Amino acid sequence: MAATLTAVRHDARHAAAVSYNVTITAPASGAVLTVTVGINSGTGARSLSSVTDNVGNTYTPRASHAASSTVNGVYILESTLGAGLPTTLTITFNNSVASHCKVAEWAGLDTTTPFTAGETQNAAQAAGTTVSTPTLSVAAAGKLILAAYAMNTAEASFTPDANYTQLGAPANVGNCEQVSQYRLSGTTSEAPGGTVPSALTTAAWGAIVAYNVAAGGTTYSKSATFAAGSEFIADDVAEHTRSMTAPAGSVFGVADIAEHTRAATATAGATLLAPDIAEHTRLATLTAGTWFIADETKVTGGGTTYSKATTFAAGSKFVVTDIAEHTRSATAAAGATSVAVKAATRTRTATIAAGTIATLTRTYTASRLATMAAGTFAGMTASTLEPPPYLEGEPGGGRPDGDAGGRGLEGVQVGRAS
Amino acid sequence: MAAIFPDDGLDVLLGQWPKNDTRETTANLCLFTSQTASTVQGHTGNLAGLTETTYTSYARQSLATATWGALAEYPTNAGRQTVYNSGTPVTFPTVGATGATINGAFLTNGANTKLIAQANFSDLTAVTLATNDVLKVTPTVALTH
Repeated sequence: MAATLTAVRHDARHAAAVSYNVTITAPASGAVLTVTVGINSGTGARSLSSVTDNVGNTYTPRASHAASSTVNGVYILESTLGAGLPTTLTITFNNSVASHCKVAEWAGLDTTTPFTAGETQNAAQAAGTTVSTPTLSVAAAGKLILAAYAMNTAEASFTPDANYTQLGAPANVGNCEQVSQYRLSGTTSEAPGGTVPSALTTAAWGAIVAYNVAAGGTTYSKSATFAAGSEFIADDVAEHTRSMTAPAGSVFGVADIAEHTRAATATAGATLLAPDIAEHTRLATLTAGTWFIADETKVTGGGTTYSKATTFAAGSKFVVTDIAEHTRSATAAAGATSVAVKAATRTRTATIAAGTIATLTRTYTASRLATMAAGTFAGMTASTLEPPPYLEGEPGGGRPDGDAGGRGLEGVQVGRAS
Repeated sequence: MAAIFPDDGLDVLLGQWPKNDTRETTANLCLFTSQTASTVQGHTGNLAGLTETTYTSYARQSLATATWGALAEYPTNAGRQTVYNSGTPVTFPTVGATGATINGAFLTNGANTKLIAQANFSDLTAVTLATNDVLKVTPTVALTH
């Protein structure tokens, strides 16, 4: 994308002088100054000797034509201001001449290579009410085209070429008038002209220069979080992942998460799809608004073995076909929808808060505690099963997990803690 | 987002505490073109295992330890984090003649001898840099519980 061109103009005119200063406001850093100078026709050699400034910048002429007794002279120069930002320019001629100078400050030009060799033209124009320049061919469109015309009549106005912008109004001083116009080229061939109300009595001289525009780049802003423990790659995450966070709005699909995952957090709005979670998951927290779909969470028969805590926040949707063995705690907060076809063996605590809709096809074997608060809608197809063989007649002992609980299942207790 | 403190990086961290290795007062933020926009190396990854960009005018950016921001929660209760320079991005040099496709950033120690951490960009999207493009990166370091 081409950079935006802006021009700040400064004018100076002098009826007859060998040298004079042009005071300007210090240009912005990165700006380019162009200087267009018109010299009145007259006897003897009439040429521009130099343009300098108070900080030592170099001004390079790109179009040069000295005045003579029959034609006006015109010059176009530029400086990339490598030496600093000037406030005074000095225009020097080889003789005392009437001249008209315009200094323009440009933003958006290429300060490294402002000019491509050969992209300049100048020639005499026929007398009359129109002015123009020779045709300038440029390598590519998108360049600043700057055209200047030196005339020796007093013109009240100047009508620029279509699509061009006039750079300062005409102002005749000592029979010398210079007008300039510019545009960002739309083609590779430019020959801008213009009209003036009074017919020129001496041929004007037109000059045109193409300046290179800085290629505009795109600025990208990114963030990168270097998180220890967040090794998380593709379908098979990793062993020992400590934390997995699915930001709100994300869809987190993992075929096989990991062993020893310590925490799996799905932020509100996230969708966590985990057909097979892991062994030894310690904590699975689903924020309100989360959808959690786990077809199979156990290893043996599907599921998580030895999960310590599973919390489903209000608003979460939790669908588990087969939860786990040895889950220690499963809490569905108010508003949660928990659908567990087969919950768990030896779940220690299952708390279903008011407002929860819990459908447990097969609830617990050897659960110690099942609390359902007022307002709970619970549908239990088979809430009690035969206690495992090791529990029968062996209160408090003989379980493979080594738990020293006090007694075996004597029936699911609803509404109170045991 | 994939991110990792590989073994080399954890060694640097552990070297600072609890061990008392020479204090690292600077790190370098660098850009890589290897791996993908959503993957990084595994735990054995190191500097030899990634390709640092060589786009024209590219330069590693030095990060002073004193400029890292206040420690804060790494949401949500996952750990703690610090954001460099209060979130003011680190600006890499404007791309010169030849660009590159950047898949993420990595941190090296001050001597550029060890890969401390590697991460994709948070949006998991590579950046294709062309001439005159500028890439700004806001780095965050987080340690999870």
